[in-house]
Formats: sequence, C-alpha cells, structure tokens
Amino acid sequence: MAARFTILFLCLTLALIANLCLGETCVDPITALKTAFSGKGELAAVLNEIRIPRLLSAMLTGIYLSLSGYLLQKLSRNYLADPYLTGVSSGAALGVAAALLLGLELSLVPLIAIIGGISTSTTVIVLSRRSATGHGGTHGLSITRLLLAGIALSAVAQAAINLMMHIFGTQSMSQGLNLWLMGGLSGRTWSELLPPLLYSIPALAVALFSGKQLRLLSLGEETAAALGLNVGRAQLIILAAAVMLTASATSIAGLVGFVGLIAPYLARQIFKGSESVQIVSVLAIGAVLTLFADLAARTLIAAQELPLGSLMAVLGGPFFIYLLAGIDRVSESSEEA
Amino acid sequence: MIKLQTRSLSLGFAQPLFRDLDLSLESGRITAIMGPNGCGKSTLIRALARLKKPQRGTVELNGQDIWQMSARDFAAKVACVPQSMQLPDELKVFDLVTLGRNPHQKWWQSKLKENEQAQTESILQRLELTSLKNKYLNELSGGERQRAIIAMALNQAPSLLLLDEPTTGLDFHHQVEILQHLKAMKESCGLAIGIVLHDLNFAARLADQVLLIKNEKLLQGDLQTVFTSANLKEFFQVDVASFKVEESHIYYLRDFI
Repeated sequence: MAARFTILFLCLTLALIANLCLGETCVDPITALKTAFSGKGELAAVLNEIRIPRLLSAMLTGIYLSLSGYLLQKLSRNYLADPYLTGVSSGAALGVAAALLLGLELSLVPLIAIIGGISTSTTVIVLSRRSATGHGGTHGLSITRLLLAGIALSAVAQAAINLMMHIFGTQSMSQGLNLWLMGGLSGRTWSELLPPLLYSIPALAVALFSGKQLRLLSLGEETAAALGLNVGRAQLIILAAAVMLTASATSIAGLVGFVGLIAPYLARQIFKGSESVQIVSVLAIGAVLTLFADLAARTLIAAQELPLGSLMAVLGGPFFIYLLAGIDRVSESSEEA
Repeated sequence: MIKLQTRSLSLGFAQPLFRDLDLSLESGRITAIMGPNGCGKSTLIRALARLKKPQRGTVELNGQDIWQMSARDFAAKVACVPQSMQLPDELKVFDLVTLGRNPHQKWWQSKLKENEQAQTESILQRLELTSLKNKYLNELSGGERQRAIIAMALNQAPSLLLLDEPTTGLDFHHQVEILQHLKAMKESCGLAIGIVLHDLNFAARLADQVLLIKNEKLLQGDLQTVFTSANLKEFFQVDVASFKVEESHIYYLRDFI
C-alpha cells in the first residue's frame, strides 16, 4: 500500500512539474521554480499569472469531480454514477450559463451552479429510487433509472442552455459560452479560482469526515438505519457535498465528464482499504488525470488548444462502455423485474 | 430490563397482513415468530426494529413509542439481523463487526476505543471468527458471512436482539451453534430475543413463547398452548405429531412420503 501511494504522489508531482514547465515556452523545473519565486521578467509573469493558476484549476477540477463521483457512487451503491452522467454537471452548467447571461458577479457563479446542480440531482435521485417492497426492503437507486434520468435531465438542461443562448445571448457571448461548455481551463486567473475554492471547503470537509457514514450506507439503507444512522440526513448531507463539488468544478472548467467515473474506479482497483484511504487515493488520481489531460489539451497540437471536456469524453466514453459491458446482465434484469 | 411491546399493531401493504397484535418481548425470554411464507413475519420484525412504520397501532420500548426515539438511541438497545443483507466486497470481517459499535460512538469517531476493541475481539472469538477477521467478505462462505452479520449485531451490545431466519444457509453444526449461543446469551445476560424460525424442533428447544401468523390470524402463547397438532395443522397444513424425550417435545411429520 505504501509503495502504491508513493508512486501515486510521484505521478502527482510529475504532473504538476510538467504542467508548470511545458508549453509554448519550455523551462527546466529548477529554473521554473526560481523564476516563479523571484517574480521578475516575462517568464515569471507567464508562470505566476497563467501556468500556476491554470495548473491549480486543473488540480482542483480533478479533485472536485473525482470526489463528487466517489460520493455519488457510494450513495447510489453503483459504480456508474458520475456527476456528468447523473445530470449534476448539466444542472450546474445551466446555473452557470444563466449566471453568465444575466451578467451576475463572478463570486455568485458557483452558488448559482450549486442551485442548478441540486435541482437536477434531486430530480434524478427521486426518479431513480427503487420501491422498498422487496425482501429486505432496501430502497437503493436503480442503475438503469439513474442513468436514464441523468440523460433525460442533461438533455433538458442542455436544451435550456441553448434556448437561453438563442434568445438572450449575443453572438460573442454564445461563442464564449459554447467554448466554456466544451470544458477548458484556458485563461483561468487567480480571481476566478477563489470563489469556487471557498464554496468547496464545507463539501471537502464533509467528504473527508463522512467515511463511517459512507461505510454504513454501503450496507443498505435499512441496515444503516438499524445501526443507528439517520439515513435521510446522511444521504442529504453527502449528496449536497457531491453537488457542491461538481458545481465548483463546473464553475472553474465548464463541462468536464468522466473524471468522476475513472478516478474512483482506478482507486478501487489499486487501493483497497478504509474509506479514508480511498478518498485520498481518489482525489490524488483525479488530480493527476485532469493535470495530464489539460497538459495534453494545450500541447498536443501546436498553437491550438483542444477542449478539455471533449478530450476527457474521448477517453472516458470508451471507458464507460467497458464498465457497462462488465455489468452482470442477470443481476441487472432481476433488478428491473 | 427491557420490554418491547406492540399495542394493537396492524401491518400490511395493499392488503393487511394482520391486525391488532399485542405482543411483548421481554428480558430473558425468547419469542419465536412462525408461519407460512408471506404471512408477515419479516414485516413484523422490520416494524419491531423501527424499519417500517405500522399502519395502525404502536411499538413501544419501555413505554416509549419507538418512532419518538432517535435511530441512534433505539439502535443502542435493539439490534436486528435481517433476512438478507448487502455486503460490500471491499469490507473485511473486522470492519463489518466494528460497525456494530456505531450507536455508541460519536459521528466522527472511526477508531475503536480500548474497551470496544476488547469487546469486538471477544465477540469474534465467541462466533469463531477470529481467524477470519482480516478476510474480505466476498471470500467467506454463506455461513461465515451470516455469523459475521450476527457478530455485528451483538457488537451493538443490545438488550434486545431481533433475528429474521438467522440460520438460513448455515450447515447443521453452525445452526445448532448459533441457536445455542443465543440461548446462552439469554440466560447469562438476560437478552430479550425475537426470532423468525421455520423449524419446529429448534423453536421448541429455544423459545419461551411462540407467535403463529397466517392469513391475518394470530396465535400466541407458550409452547404447550400453541404447538398442538390441531394448531400446527391449521397454520402449516401438515400433520405433525410429537413425542417426549427428556422433558423436550420432538416434532415429526406423521405421513411423510
């Protein structure tokens, strides 16, 4: 376990150094650090005003999305739950689009994203709840209903965004919003980073301290209740934390999918252990994934930036299909019976 | 002393399962709940365990309506072993059993205190799980998993234990052992037990009182009153006779094949 964590944190360090040093201007790590600390010259401006805010944005986006995916998966007790697939991201995106079109203050954008995310996630959860009529009487969430409700709500949110842009947006505003919806971290500044960081602090605290509650919920709602957990309250708090994390990520990077699916999966495969171990490994893997994806987005094609969200979808889509193919079809059909 | 009492309890879904049940589960007594499939035994256990709200009537713990209590306070006194339970693959036996301490811990406490550690180890030992404590739950046999679930419930240090067919899937040795263990706990700690059973002979050796349920009909009382050939014929539609060996009745099917 210690060796695996060492490798993971070496990967994270490597990802951070690569994001700091590589780009149109390549520098070695020592020079990069010295120049950034000195704060003098054009290179220092590039590092301090462009690359460092951007790599922090990528790291936070990865941490928020992977942790949100982990919480949603634990809550719904299925490994296909992801902020993007369950409609949380689209709801948050709808909120952000509305905030931008209305010209609201930047500090309010994450809050509006949270409201959008909570609206869609609550609807998705209500639509995907199983009845408690079976033996054992556990509610839980139906995997099929969860994904279908997520797809439906995402479609509605996307359509609402398009309509808003069509009716209220100027051409330049629509182009900007479109770019943002494809996901990306180009031009992120310190001032854009601070509000989502502040909004995410309570959600991060919930995620880090809810290990025991997540473990109890993993036994099923009835067993968790029989062991003294206030199930409804615990689910609500954890869901709110997941939505706040997704909303914070969406307000930083736009729509970026599949990080919340891939990172928890890799963490489960590589690190077995308590929820605390899993949470640390999930957020580190999420950060590494997003840092490398963003590095690829801005360096794969010279003088051109690829949308981070689209790049992640190219990677994540086949991964999702691979996971879907692995689901036991017998258990799935019996679930729906 | 503990007393879990139902007052005019009615349970059901679209159709009623039974009405106006007055049942009392008390310290040092084992109550066997029996009846054909679908009669409402599991639903009754869930209502007693504060997992299903009754349609009518109340369930009271030492005179207090259980739905006026918090889930934590109730779970500190009453534990439940359900008929089936979802067990995550990534959990080890020890992790599962330690979750039983939850009602006695603060919400942020994740590590066991010294006395809790000792209690957990002792329960693992009593249920012959010590050698399996570091195994993942998906590496266990059905019987071993069932013992781990019972160990988790016992780790709640309950005054009353509710069990829904706890011996299902166990080999004969472990069936006997679990039931002997429950009887010993009743005698040594005064544990009150409500248990769903199908085996008449196990019920006869274990229970102090029996509740039979079928098609909204209820019959309760001590063994001699309830386990008559006529009642068993009416509730189970089989011809059962008994003979006595060393103060115990042995039940057998009169015309089996």
